[in-house]
Parts: sequence; structure tokens; C-alpha cells
Amino acid sequence: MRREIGNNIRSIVIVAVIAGLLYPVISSIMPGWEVMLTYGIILAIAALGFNLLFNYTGLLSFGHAAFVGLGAYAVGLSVKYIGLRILEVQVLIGVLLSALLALIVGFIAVRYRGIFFAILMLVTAQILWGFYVKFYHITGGTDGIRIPRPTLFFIYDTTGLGYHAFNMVYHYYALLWFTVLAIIMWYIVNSPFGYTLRVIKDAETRAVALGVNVDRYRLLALVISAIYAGIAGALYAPINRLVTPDLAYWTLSGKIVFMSILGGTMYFLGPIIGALTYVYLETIAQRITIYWYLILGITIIAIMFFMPRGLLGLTELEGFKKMARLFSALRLQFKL
Amino acid sequence: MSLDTLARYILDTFFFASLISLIVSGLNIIYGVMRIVNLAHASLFTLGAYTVAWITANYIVKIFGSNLILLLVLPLTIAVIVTVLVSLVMVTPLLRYSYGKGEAFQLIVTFALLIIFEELFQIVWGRMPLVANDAFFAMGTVNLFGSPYPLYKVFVIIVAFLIILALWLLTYRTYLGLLLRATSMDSEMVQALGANVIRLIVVAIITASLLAGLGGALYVPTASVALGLSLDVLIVAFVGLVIGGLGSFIGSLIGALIVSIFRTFSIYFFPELELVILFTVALIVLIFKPEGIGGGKGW
Repeated sequence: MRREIGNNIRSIVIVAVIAGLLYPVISSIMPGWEVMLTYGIILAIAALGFNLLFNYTGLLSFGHAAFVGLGAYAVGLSVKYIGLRILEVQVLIGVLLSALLALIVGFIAVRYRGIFFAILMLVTAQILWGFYVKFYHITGGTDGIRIPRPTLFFIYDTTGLGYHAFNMVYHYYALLWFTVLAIIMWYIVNSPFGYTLRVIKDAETRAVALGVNVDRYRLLALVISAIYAGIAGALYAPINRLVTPDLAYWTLSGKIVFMSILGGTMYFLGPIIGALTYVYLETIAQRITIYWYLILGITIIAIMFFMPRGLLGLTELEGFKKMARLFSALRLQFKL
Repeated sequence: MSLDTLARYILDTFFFASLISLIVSGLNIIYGVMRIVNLAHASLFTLGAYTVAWITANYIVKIFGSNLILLLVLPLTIAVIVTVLVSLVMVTPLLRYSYGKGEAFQLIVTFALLIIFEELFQIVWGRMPLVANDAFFAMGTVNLFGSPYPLYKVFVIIVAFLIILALWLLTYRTYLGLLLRATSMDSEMVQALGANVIRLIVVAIITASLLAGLGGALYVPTASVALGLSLDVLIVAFVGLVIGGLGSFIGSLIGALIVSIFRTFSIYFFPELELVILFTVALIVLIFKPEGIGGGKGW
């Protein structure tokens, strides 16, 4: 089997540590750009969920925004109607709702692959989006719901914190979620369950012949994937301070697809690297031009045709390998 | 339900079915020849609609006044030409080079194309909906059991019927149609027998684009055209495809009709639940008849 770069827990921890260390650095060098890092690691959670379906199960979803939106609205509605501000409980509500939705839709959708699955998920997301927009007396319509500062870890009320202090605290809070979830995901994809999913993707007939209940495995993969997207949505709400129907719109699903293929869907770290790169690409592009989605679409097509392995695929180029060999030789030399 | 409401309901259903069948049959032609479901196909419909709305409001009415024949023919022709040209530049090369690259690849590429089109529409025509209902009002109404019914919708039904008839003749009564049908069944064999499959693919895409652009052009006098139309149309067309079965000519027409019955019903009685109803219909069909009404048999 091909040795895959970054498919180990150490790499996940390294990425998390870098994301943690970079935050104060960016905020001192380029104030205002550090928030993107928080968005990036939150979106990375959703992209990890997407990739469990896409790379490991072979199901392409154009509707992951449905779960992101559900997670975000779980936070928004629970604040608005029952005054709940303990974020962990709100995340739990988002997880339960996402899992429930995934079970309902997935019950039928996982029997199909390709276009049918992709569009059924897309329609699911559009239905929810329509609900958020049309039932404005409940959801606030396109104005959305304002999210007050949450209470973290059940006791730590962040209301009194200043803007920057809160962002900083929240970054490390989100980073904690990210690290734990990424490690769990690593165990999932490298467990017998994960390998069964890969068999289903590569040789469905063989999996059936081996006695695997293909639909049940796919359904479980969809539910896990939905839970990840739901958590991402719930974590997204407080840092964004506003929950709008845009979080369930099909363009967000497109962005999640884009992040994953940008980083490289074949790699475990791909969606993570993709999400972190994506938020900065988007920010830079939006400062230069207002036609961000145009660039996004063209870039997707360019990646698909010319760089199908994504950014991490670059590590397999000869030059990079030489550098890596040189690096490890140096490391041996100096006994680092 | 009184007689005129019923007749209105039936005619509205047929009107909508006419538009949807233009898209679904185009999707089907491309799927048949290339095994690609082109997600950006609905964008060509929207492109046709935007073009008509824009030139009618800005040029045709100002230059020619409300001459009915010009209002009908001129925008329609221009829209179809624009759609086919854009399709030749943007859609055809992408589809042609996505040919045979795997379904996930094709879906992502055409999805990206959908995003690109959506942004282009916003750049060119802005966020506000465009309206050009001059032709709709210029045609007047017809008496339908005592209440007026817009003649324009009847006109669309007739035009779409003629187009579908022509398409049927093309696929079942000409040599080109024979080649297209043969490709939909076994493209390798067609290639081995000496036909140029790539050329057939281009012909199929152009035909499909023409149908989509025409559909959009016919649609616009009855309603406004706004961002997000592509996705709505795509979803309705997809449900039609699910019902009718991928790759079946007659099946897709029946699918378009059935999806229109449900859509018109939901628009009449539960406008908030339109998507939910369509989604449920698609799921029910997928449970009980996953291959659709005419699916799996080729053309």
C-alpha cells in the first residue's frame, strides 16, 4: 500500500500546534487575519466529515451545508427561544439534529451513489435553506439570529471578554474540538470500520459477497459525517456572531467540496490543509475582487483537471521528496 | 373545484411540463451519449431566460415597440444563439474533456460550472430579478370556461410540443439520431464501426444547449428571472429524471409531466412546501421503482 503523507496522529497534533502557535503571531503581524485561522479549523471539521463520505465511502455530497446549517441553527434557536448559552449543550443539540436528519435522508439516499446521492443531499440542504428563509417569524429570515457570547465548559462565561480576548479564547476552544475530532476521525478511518468503507468504495460487489451490509455501513458513515458537519456549524455560530440561511445554502456545500479537493481528498490531512488554505484564499480574493465565486469555480475545475491530488499531492513530486530526504539526512547529522 | 379552475390547473401543468421536458430531454441526450449528468445544464436555461429578459426590456421594446411577432421571434432567436455560443465556449470543452473520467470528477466539474454561471449572471445582470412580460400581455387571453387564460402559455405548450416532436423525429427517423441512439447503448462499438464519437458528443451537447436556451427563453415572459433559478430548475428537472429514468427519451417526457403535476399542485395549494413535495416524490420513486419508468433500456 502507498505510504501516505500525514496519515498519523502525530501530523494531526503538529497541525494543531502550528494553528495554535500561529494565532498570536498572525494577530501581532497582521491584525485582523487571525480570525480566519479560527474559521479555518472550524471548517476543517466539516471538511473532514465530507471526506469521510467522499474519499473513504465513495459518496459525493453536494448538501453538507444542510448539516452545517442545522448545527448553527441549533445554537441560534436554542439561544433565541430557551436562552441556552452553554455551548457544549448546544453542540450536542446540533449533533443530535444532524444525526437525525442524516438517518432520515440517508435511509433511502445511501442506496444510491453518484448523481442520485449528490442531488438528494443538495435538495435536503435547499429544503432546510427554504425553511430558514420562509419561516422568518421563527428563524428571523435572511436577517438571521444574533448569537450572544457563549458559556464554555459549562462554567466559563465569555460575556465580559473584549473582542480580541474572546476571539483568542474561542480559537483555542475550537482548536481543542478540532484536535479531538480529527484524532477520532483518524481512528475511524484506520479502524476495521474505515477499511470496510474503503472496500465498499473500491469493490462494492466484493463487499456484498463478503457479507457486508453495504447500506448500513454507508448510513453509519453518513451519520458520522453529518455529526462532524453539525459540530462545525455549531462552533461556527459564536465566532460569526450571526446565524443566517447562507449557512445552509448550496454555495457553502460547494465550498466544502472545494476545500477538500484543494487539500487533496486522497489524504487524511487533505481537507484540513484545504480548509486552512481556503479561508485565506477567500479573504485575499475578496479584497482584490468581488467575483470570488467565479474564481472559486474556475479553481475547482483547474484543480480537477491539472492537480487532482490537491496541495498535498505536491508532496509526491520528486523535488519535494529530495528536500525531505535532505531534511532527514540533516536531522540525522545533527542528531535532532 | 370548478371547471375553469380545473382546466387552468391542467393547462398550467402542461405549460410547466413543456418547459421541463425541454430541459430533461437535453439532459437525457447528454447522458445518453456521454454518461454525464450535466449539473450546469439548468444554467443554460437561466442564460436563455436572462438574455430574453434583458434584450426585450432594453432593446426590443424601445426599438420596435410592442409588435407581437417581433416580441416573440426576435428575443427567442437571439437567446438561442447566445446560449449555443456560450455552451460552445464554456460547456462543450469541459464536458468533452470530462468524458470517461469517472462520475465524481464529472459531477464536481459540472457543479463548479454551475457556480461559475451563477456568479456570471450576478456580474452581468445584477442581483435584482429581471422582468420582461411584454409578449405575455401582448398576446392577451383566451376564454376558458368563463375565465381568462393567458394565450402565451398555450403558445408555449404548442411550441414545446413541436420541438419535442422534431427531436423525436431527429432521434428516431434520421441517420444522426440512429448514431446518437447507438452511442447511448454502446459507444465503444459505435467508435469501432467508424463513427466519430467526439463529434457526436459535440452535436449532442449543442442540441441539448439549444433546447435549454429555448426553454428559458419561452419561460421568461411568464415570470421574473432571478439568481437561484438555475438550482430550482435543476432540482425539478432532476426529480423528472428520477421519475422518468435516466437515458429514456419517452420516460423523460413522462417524468417531466408527472413532476409538473406535483409541482403545479404544490404551487396551487402548498407553495411553501414545493421542494418538500418534490423531494418526497423523488424518494418514493427511488424506493419503489429505482430505475424510473423507462430507465435502463437506452433510448
